[in-house]
Amino acid sequence: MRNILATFGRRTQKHPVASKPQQRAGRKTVFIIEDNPDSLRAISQALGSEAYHIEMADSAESALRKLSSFQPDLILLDPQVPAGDGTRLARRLLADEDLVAVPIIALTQSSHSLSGALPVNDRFDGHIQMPAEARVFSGQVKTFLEPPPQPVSNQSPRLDLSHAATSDRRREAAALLNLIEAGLPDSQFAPEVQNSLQLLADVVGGLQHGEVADYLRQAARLSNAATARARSRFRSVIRLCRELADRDPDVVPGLADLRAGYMNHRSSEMESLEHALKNGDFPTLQRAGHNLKGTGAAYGFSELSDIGRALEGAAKCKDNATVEAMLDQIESYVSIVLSTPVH
Amino acid sequence: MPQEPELSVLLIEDEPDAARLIQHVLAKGGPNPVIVEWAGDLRTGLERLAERDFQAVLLDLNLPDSAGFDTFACVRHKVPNRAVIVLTGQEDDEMALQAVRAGADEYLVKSEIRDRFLLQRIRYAVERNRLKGQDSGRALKNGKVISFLGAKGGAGTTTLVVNLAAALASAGKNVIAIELMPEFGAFATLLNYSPSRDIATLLRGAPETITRDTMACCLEEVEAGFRVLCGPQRAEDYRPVSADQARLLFGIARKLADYTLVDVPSIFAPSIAEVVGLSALTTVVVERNRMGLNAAVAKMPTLQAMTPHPGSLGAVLINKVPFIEYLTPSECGKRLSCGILGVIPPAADLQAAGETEAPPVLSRPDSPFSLAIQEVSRRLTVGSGRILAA
Repeated sequence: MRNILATFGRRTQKHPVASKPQQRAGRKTVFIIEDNPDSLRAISQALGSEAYHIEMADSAESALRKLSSFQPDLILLDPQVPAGDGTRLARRLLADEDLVAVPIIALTQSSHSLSGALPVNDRFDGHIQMPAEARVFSGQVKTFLEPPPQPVSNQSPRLDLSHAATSDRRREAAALLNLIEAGLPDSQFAPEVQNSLQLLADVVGGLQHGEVADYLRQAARLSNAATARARSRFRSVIRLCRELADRDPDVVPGLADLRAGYMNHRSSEMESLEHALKNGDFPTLQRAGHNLKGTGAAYGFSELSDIGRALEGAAKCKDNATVEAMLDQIESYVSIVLSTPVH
Repeated sequence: MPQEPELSVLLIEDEPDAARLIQHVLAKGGPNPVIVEWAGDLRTGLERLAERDFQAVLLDLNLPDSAGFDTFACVRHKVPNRAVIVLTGQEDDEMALQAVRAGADEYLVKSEIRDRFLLQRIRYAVERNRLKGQDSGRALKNGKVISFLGAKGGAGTTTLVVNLAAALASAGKNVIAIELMPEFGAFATLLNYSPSRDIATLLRGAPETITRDTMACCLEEVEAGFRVLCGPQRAEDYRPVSADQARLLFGIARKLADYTLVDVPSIFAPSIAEVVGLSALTTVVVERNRMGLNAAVAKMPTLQAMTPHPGSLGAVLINKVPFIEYLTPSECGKRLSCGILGVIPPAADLQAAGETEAPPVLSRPDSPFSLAIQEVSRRLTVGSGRILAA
């Protein structure tokens, strides 16, 4: 499946952590993705006085290639890179699990925002108006690099597996997941959640519920990430786990492969949906939304049905911004499922 | 456990992802072999159905070449005796219910097809369909169609039909009343109920969608003890009835009941000729006054030409006021050159009661009106040859 991912521009497996540049210096790494050489130079100069490690890319392709070899602390992205392809790049970066805790900041051309061409939505973690004065710019970057205040949760959903009989573990899992889901968004940061999810993953993994175990581990990894993306991803993963835990896994053999295949189709469909959006081909988007709505829940991805419903509605009234946001969500959901190994 | 018989299913579904999942679940969901073939559109589906005998059809209603109820009707027509299971989205409940009323054996919400019971539900549907086939074969009637036609509007035809149907039903007959009105039907008001499906449901599709199944589903049993098919209730449902539709409608109706009473509009249309041609008796409802009689006399030659034989045309006289100083019933019969089935006294005071109660013939059985209705109903049941023996 990694091959399939690679052909659709997703990031390939990273190099071992030891080779990452920022590990040597202990400095924060800022990744600038900008196709205009003048801007690129100006930005790196503006940040020059700070002790950052700067990495740069001038195209979507090179950005994805470079990201496979290091982990940035902040991404500055010109959404117009290159020649309007920045939206697609942004979609991939926003959906990337490895970057889920990394703030992604859009460098917004003020001429665009004045004309209203760029939709102001919350897909990015922040915007910096360009051109900007060097001092202001460097101040803003500094702020974005500071870790966001982490929400504190008092409630503590906790799993007690000590007395549970093996046959009841699926029910135990469902109970914990229901508890977490009901406590969202705070429950993501509850002190015991990460441990409980990890523990649960180990237990159900041993029960041959490999797919659930992988999602649970993903949820555990997300449980302390505070970006908006991490939060919505956590919500999706928990829902996905709960949906799987609610079902009897032994009904039909071979369903996991079918589910992965279904997601691969969604992944390959994305390009044509982006193309349709670019060309204002709303009937195609509407049809795709309708099909997602009908098939998502059938495959056990009920959130995908919801997204499909919203996409269908948005495409019907030619609502560009919502269609865009739904494509983001599809991409992100697909990456949740496909970033776990196939069983 | 004994091996269940092999199950063959045709899946008609245009969405490859949905089709793949269903095929997988059917193939792997149980220990016994299931043969699943997949067609991506209606045309291909109908071709497959012509090629081999499937026990069940899993049918998505919205296909590239057909949408909604028509899809179901086409498949139902193609395989009247096989289980048809409608696949639907969560939001198309209404459509699915309509299909079930019209003879679908089951419907499945697509988001639930991963369910372990998918296979079971298909087998149940197949079994139900088989039993239904035996059932309807046993219950087929050889009933009579009796049509009622006002000599002019306002003669009281609808009141007569509703009360006659109630009288026949209370005498233990199996009765259907059909309102063949092109526009607003008054049955519902007279019977004080709101129909959930009416004649428009049957007329919406192509003529071949009118089958024993769809018809049986559209007939609603009312408190008065008979089944009705009301005229259209909403202006957007008003549509003419074609001759083909009428022929099917009444050809089927007489197989479903002992008596099918039809309220025919007092206009001439190709569908009227079909009804009259199929009717064992066509009754002209005549207001017993000069204008009523003249209107009837003017209509008689046309009606005579439509009836299968001269004896199948008769008249009922309606007294609109208590005391009549007009021609006697037999003089009227001579002018009309047909037999008179009965004379009905005014029901004006009783109609008000009908708004909240059962038809007057049931709620006030001793009133002169009700006694006259009962007399006509007795005459209708004494036997075809002697209906008009006045």
